[in-house]
Amino acid sequence: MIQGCLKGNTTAQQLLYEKYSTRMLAVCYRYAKNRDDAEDMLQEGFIKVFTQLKQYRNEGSIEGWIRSIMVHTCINHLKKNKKFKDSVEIEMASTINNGSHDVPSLLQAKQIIDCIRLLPIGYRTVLNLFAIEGFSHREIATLLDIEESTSRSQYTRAKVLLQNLLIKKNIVQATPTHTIKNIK
Amino acid sequence: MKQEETYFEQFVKESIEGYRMYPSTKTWQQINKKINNNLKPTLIAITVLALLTLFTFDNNKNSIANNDNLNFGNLNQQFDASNNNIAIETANENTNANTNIALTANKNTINSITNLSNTNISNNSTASTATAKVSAKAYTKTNVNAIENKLENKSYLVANSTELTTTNEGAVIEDKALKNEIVQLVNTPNVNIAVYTEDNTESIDEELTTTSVNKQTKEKKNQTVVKQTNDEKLAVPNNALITKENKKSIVQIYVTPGLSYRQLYDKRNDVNNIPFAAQSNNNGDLNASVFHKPATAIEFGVAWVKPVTNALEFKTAVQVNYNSYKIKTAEAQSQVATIALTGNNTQVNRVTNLVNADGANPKWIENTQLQISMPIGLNFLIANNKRIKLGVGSSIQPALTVYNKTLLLSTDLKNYATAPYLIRKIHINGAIEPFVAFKGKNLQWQFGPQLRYQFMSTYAKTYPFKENMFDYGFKIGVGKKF
Repeated sequence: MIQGCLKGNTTAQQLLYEKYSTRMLAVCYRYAKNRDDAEDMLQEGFIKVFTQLKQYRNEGSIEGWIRSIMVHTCINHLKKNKKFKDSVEIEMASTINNGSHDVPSLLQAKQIIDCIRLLPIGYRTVLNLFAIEGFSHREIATLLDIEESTSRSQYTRAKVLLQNLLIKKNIVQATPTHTIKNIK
Repeated sequence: MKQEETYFEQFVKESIEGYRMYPSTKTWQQINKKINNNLKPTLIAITVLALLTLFTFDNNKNSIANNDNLNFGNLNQQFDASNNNIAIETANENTNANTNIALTANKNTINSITNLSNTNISNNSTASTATAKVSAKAYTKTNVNAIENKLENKSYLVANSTELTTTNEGAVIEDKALKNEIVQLVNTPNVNIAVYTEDNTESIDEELTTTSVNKQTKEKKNQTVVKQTNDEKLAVPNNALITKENKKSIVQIYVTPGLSYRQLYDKRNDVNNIPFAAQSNNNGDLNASVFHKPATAIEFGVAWVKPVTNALEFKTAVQVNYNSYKIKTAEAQSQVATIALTGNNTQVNRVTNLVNADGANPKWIENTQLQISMPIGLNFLIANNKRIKLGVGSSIQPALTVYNKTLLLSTDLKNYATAPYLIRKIHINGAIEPFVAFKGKNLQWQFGPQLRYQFMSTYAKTYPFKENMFDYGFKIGVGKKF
């Protein structure tokens, strides 16, 4: 399939797209303002995938490579918006309840994603990058042109806010922290 | 606390990991458009090539005549020094159905004619009966028509010229102004005509510079001129010389209703490591396992036909092809249809509720496709006269599938499912069509059977079955000459 894509075979390209577009759209959706934006990101990302495919060295999975391109595309897309950087750096301490350490006991993917998307865009982006994509705070700082400490604090707040949101919307029940193990 | 954080991150990550969202079809279309925009240059190249071909054909008809060694044969041409005349030679309609005027003179001769047209010569008797052969190697429609009009519209010529010939009635142009106009028409870069004597071309050329020229003409349907001294020598092979009437282009609208068939070929041997044949219907025999019936085919188009000779026509068109065939299926619970692709270990899974079965309650589905094509081809004419044309046409048709509703058979032959990206878009078709055409005053009607064959498979190369469509139809066309 990859060889076909490299040769410009439309069928192979469409197969690759069909195989990964659904997961990648979900990735984009977590960063995007709305679904239309997410599809724009997906489109831009896949164009990069096909045009840069020759740079893929078979090191690691193709999905990971595509996902990495998608995430970077999403970040670049967000950074085009001038308000984005401001929103990353704004501290929203007043809205955060630091006292809660409850964690969700029942999570549905869609519900979690919806809650993540309710977070301010700066929080959301850092949370996506750290908790889901696995970037370090240093990498996030480089990626978003912010201080590493800012990334850390943003993430801490994002995490608490997300937990509160999930509880507030009755998506999950607040349970003692140690029950996480049981859930998993 | 650290452990809790780790749990939280892992938990969130794994919970949303499998989440999928389905993008709209427009997204892929836009991606495809951007990454495969090489289609556009291809289409542009084909169009430019076609236009260039048409332009070349149209612009180089003189060259075509030369290359085909068009030759009016040996004409006895008299140069009458006692007359300051220019006569125009035409082929005899009775002789050979030719109505073209053959203009004479090579470069030197044209100069001679030009000089002579301004010279009043009446007494050079030495060249009065010089005989020359005239070989008209080329002619232009514009000039021929213009000269004919000049001669027809002005009535002041026409005087019997007993000196020109003793056997035919004729007339010569005595009006100097008219003669000059004709000379100007003759004296164009596109006219290339050789005049030479049986004995000595140079001497005749010399004489031409000091004498006048008669160019003989045959009576056509107008009052103009003259004589034909040797009808037999005027005979031109019918397939070599195109008549004035027949060289007009024809714009034709046509429709070809018919039936569409398909040929299926099994390519599952190319599927690696997927032993579908063993678990297939009818022991995997493709053609024994499917229930297909021919269905409607129709093509519609506008063609431009340009005669090259009386026996050959060039043609091109813009055409829409629709074809279809019926598939017998049965409805069942939704299930997964697997299509294994050739050349690698990839397979495509599609959800479908259509099974390939010859059950009691069949559901007939039609596979259809709509193509736009640009046929380019030739008509070989077996007969071509004033009233009727009989021939065989053939064409190659680059085609683009613009719409399709196609179900694909799963590799185990058990299901039908859609997979639009396994449909080939670009095709090459070929057509052959014996035909008869009836020529009216303004319109030309054409009828005949047609076979069109799709050389490339309906499906992408990686699909494990190959399908070639072929359509039988009856073509009806009506054209107008321009």
